[in-house]
Amino acid sequence: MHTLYLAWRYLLHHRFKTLLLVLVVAVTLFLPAGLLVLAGQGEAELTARANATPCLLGAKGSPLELTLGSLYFRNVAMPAMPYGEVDQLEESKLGLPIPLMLRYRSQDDPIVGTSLDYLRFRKLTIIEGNHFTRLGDCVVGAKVAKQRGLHSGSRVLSRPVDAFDVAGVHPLNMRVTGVLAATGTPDDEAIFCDVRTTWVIAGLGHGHDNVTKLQPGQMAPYNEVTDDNIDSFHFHGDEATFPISAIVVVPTDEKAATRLLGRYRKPDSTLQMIEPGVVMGELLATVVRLKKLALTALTLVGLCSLLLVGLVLLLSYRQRQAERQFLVQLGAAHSRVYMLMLSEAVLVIVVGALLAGGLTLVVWWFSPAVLRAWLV
Amino acid sequence: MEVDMRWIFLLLMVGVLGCGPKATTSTESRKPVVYVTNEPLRCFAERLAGGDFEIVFPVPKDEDPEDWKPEAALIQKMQQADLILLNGGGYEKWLKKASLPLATQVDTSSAFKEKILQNDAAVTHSHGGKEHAHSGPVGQTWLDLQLAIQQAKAVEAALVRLKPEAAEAIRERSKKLEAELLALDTEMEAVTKLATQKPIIASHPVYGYWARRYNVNLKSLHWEPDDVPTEAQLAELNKLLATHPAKVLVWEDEPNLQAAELVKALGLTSIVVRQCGNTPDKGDFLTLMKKNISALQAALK
Repeated sequence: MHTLYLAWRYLLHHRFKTLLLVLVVAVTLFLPAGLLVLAGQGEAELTARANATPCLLGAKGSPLELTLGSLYFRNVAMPAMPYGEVDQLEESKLGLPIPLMLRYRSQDDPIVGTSLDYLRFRKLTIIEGNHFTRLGDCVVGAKVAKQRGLHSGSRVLSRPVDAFDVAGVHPLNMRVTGVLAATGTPDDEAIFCDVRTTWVIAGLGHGHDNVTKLQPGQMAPYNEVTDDNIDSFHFHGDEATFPISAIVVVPTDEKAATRLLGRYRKPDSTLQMIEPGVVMGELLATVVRLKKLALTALTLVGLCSLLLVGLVLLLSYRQRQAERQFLVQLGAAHSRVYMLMLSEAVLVIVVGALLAGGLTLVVWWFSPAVLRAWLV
Repeated sequence: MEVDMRWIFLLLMVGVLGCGPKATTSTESRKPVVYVTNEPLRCFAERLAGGDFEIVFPVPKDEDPEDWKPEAALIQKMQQADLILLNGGGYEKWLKKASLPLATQVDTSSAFKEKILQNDAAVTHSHGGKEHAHSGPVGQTWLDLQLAIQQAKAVEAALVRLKPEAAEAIRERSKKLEAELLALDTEMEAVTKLATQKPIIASHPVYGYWARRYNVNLKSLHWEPDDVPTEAQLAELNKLLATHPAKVLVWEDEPNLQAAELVKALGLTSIVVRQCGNTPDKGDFLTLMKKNISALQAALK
């Protein structure tokens, strides 16, 4: 106990040197540990949503873009596919099809045209207001609501696909019927409406407002579905040919999933069915290889740092020869003196390790939120 | 004989506990809620459910379910339903403007999509200063009782999926219902054979499936039973009679007396063949169809 006390007093006396050594030990241990935690959580974050989505159907193209677009609502190029596929999947009774139309945005927030099944599938609950019930209604994710101060009864305006789309898509002023509870997923950053509402934005459906309200030559600044004009809204053309971006498919069982995957593997198929978990797994396999390289490099750097710490301690041991002799002359046993020196080194390593552990805990605690914002 | 009092007490306790009300959890007592959108589906669902399901037919009795639309509060309730049985074939026009989960919707006519009739003549109207022509599918699929049987089968499958533990009972009831519908189909076939060569006029274009199934030589007007036909409408009827010399005019409901007199003057007998979209004050779809058969029999014999 006395030895430890003396070692502690010595380290406190040489504060600057001790702090430096503790920091070197802490950083050496923290870097690989922190990286491992960060990589592990990043992997979990990326795969959790992908693994929770059994199958995705989309137009043939990049499976990764289909996954990133459909799961994380990234602004990636997603060729359109016909809505008729939803009907065909329903008729096949192999699974529940959930359409996704992801072409439009309100400010920078993605508008997700879907069915209520999506909210059930992702277990999204309403904390204020109600689900969307008709054309022109929407519910907003928690983050969108917070950032834009939206509540049940607010309005959100869709924006044109690009700034030069003057003659194209007419903005739709949507009624917010509810706010979703926060989930810490990309759903918090999206606006959800019926897929048909996105077809109204696309100009495939429209109503007939009372034109007498407008001055000659005046054009309504946006479309709006109201109690007065909802009956006049209608769609032109066959709904089966209307565009959607992707379909989340929830197969009834494993056998159905296999049959569904096989169905779209035909070479002449213009569609692809993917398992997002597999796609993300392939992406992460590349990341894992990079992670291994980084870990090897960090381990080598760590070893060098520890060798340097050892060297510092050794030099310090030599430097303190007079001090050791003085302690012996005072009556301390040689073994006690060596024990004292060893205790100092152990204390430095333990405090350094504790600091590294603490930092790793901080990373473990905060990284999911940071990763969510950064990765998705 | 010595009687052990402890045994008597035990038997009494068993008796008391056994006779008492059954303790049920809320999930056990909750019946799956099934929404239907017309009388035939209500009738089929009620017949097959046998008390195991709560069947909700939300359309008021004085409204035609084909023209009805639910309020937002009702849509919210329907969003919570376990099952929504739809007629399909374009019957639920409101569905395109309402948001309901796909998982709970069952289109009972999806098995015979290719048999869905389309309105030949598009009804042209103008709105927003421009004329639009809207043609669409005909909804009254059940007037072909063979199609009605297929719809009843779809109801059976949906209820079984929803409550597999009641499958046997549902299938048993379904067999009985199918037998009743088949009997009606046979009767209807026999009655309409009386009119194979005779032209018939319908006041409304809702009998397409009936005419196709039972080979009825039918042409349709666009008259409402409550309204007195205008000069133009009578002229249209006269023009039709020149090429289609019918002796019978089929109405959806009891016609306005003046209307009945006017068509009688043209040599037409008015009969009521209800399309059975909504629940009658007495009886159900099956009893209405029996009445239809009787009315046809009286007029065509």
